[in-house]
Amino acid sequence: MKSLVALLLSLAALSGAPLFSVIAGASILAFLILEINVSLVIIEMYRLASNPMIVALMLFAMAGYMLAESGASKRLVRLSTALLGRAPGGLAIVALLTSAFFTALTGASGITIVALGGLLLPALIQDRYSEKFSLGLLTTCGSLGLLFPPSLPLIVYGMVAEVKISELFLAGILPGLLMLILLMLYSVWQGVRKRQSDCPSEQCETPMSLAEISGALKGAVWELLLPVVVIGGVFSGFLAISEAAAITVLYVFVAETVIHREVKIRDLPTIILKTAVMVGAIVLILGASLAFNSFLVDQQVPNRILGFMQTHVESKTGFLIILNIFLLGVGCVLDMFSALVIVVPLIIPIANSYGVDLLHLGIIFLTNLQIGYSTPPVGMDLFIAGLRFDKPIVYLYIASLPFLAILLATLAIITFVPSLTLVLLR
Amino acid sequence: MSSRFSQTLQQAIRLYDLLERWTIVLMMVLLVLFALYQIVLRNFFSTGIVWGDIFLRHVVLWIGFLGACRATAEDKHIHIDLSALISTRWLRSLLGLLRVVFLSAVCTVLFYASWIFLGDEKSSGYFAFLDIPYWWLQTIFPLSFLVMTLRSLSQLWRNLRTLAPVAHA
Repeated sequence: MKSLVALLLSLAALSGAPLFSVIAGASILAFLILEINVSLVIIEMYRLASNPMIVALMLFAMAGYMLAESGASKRLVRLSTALLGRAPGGLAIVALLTSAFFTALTGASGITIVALGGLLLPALIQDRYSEKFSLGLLTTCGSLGLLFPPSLPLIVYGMVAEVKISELFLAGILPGLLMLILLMLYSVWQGVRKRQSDCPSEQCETPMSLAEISGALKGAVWELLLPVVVIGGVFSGFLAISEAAAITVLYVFVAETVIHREVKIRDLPTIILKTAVMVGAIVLILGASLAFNSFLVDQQVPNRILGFMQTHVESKTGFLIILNIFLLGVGCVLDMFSALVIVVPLIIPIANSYGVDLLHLGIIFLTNLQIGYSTPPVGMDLFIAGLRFDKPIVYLYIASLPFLAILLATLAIITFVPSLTLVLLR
Repeated sequence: MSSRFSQTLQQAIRLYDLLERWTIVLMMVLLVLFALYQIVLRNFFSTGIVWGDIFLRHVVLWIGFLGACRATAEDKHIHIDLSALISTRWLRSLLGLLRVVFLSAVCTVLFYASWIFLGDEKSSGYFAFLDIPYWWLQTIFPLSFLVMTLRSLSQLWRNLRTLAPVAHA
């Protein structure tokens, strides 16, 4: 019976049924088998309404969509090109920095590739980066920056693991920077190689234009101040997370609608609907997983996994290695939000027993899932980049390999140097 | 189906779509303005609305579930997409059929479950804030799952109609 149910659910998931329906279906069948009233599914779902972070999730997503509709991406690219465009690997660094900035604010929902990819790909190709390097870079960029506040996956992890979001925001900063720096170093190396073949006698050096820098700075000043508002508001203790989210919406509205006048009032209903559809899909998965997790806890599944792990894995290091392999697999098959809501509650008791800090666990989780975004068969970045750049997914996958190797190296450092995550909190 | 009935049905669907969209938009505006109002009250007047947070969370719940209804209509739920790997036409049609049958079945049970849930909550008689009982706020569950059920059933209907000629051929 159990294996029949599992087969049906796997088939449904593979046929493309919405994952919320697969998770809810699993809970319904489990409750039916256990002869529990099926209305418990809704009782568990309703627990969503007691989580204050749900407000922050909706408002940050709204601000992100507004930003995506504006010309903010162009202004950010112009500024970083003015500052770094002449340096070796400059334009690649531009792509990395602006993508990280943009993803942190818009969530890893593929918006970055759509909003920035079209702008950056022609620029990179024109600057004579190889197509393979450029496509790999931009595909990887699609989920870069989700360790930086106020990214939606960070908030969802905080909701599920019940850790303080403000601490989680701090915890992600150094690991995120490390990832960014390693990718930049690779880009510089590529840039130096390219320059040696482009102009061996350094005759094509052009000086930096101060006028362009100041012009670009003036243009992007409102976007640049946004992280200061969010992070400053939260860490000064002046604003709660959901309040900071409301202020962010107001700030982005003033900047893009009143000052830049790029987002028109008549565009707002469409932006609001896009936000509601995306957050609605996440909220439903969160709700369905609350029901499913209550079943797992009732059946003592986390305890059983814990028992199994404790008999077979002795050290914290061993646990962390197994965790990473497992999460990389999960990241390949499941999208970030489903993976978070299903797997985090199972792992938390185990992580606690091995003495892994829950903030550290969160950053390990998100790094793994970020890597999963660029790996087949269900890497969302690959699909979106494939659509956006009109390239076969296999080609994009091969192009992303060097970047994946760097991300894996970062993952290893993040996993085995917990102080990188925790030092800002002490 | 008589054409008159079908026309009225189409009109009702369009009207509901419009209502759904504008409810989402107005609720989001309410959410932002109310959240900002709370910040002003708390920081500048050292006061606040006691029930403000409960209210805001329920507004988000409504926007989220109405958004999920739209996601069903626009086929934008998070899902695993293997369609690029499957080239056989009949297999793809079959999996497409399985997908909507499964979705319809789950949504129907969720509607039934939320109906029972609502009945229980109604008889418990608790109030959320002011004079508003909790069950008023919870009507979003049966409402949204009913809409998702109807939308998935209409997808199933469309799927079966396009499948018929394939099977016949």
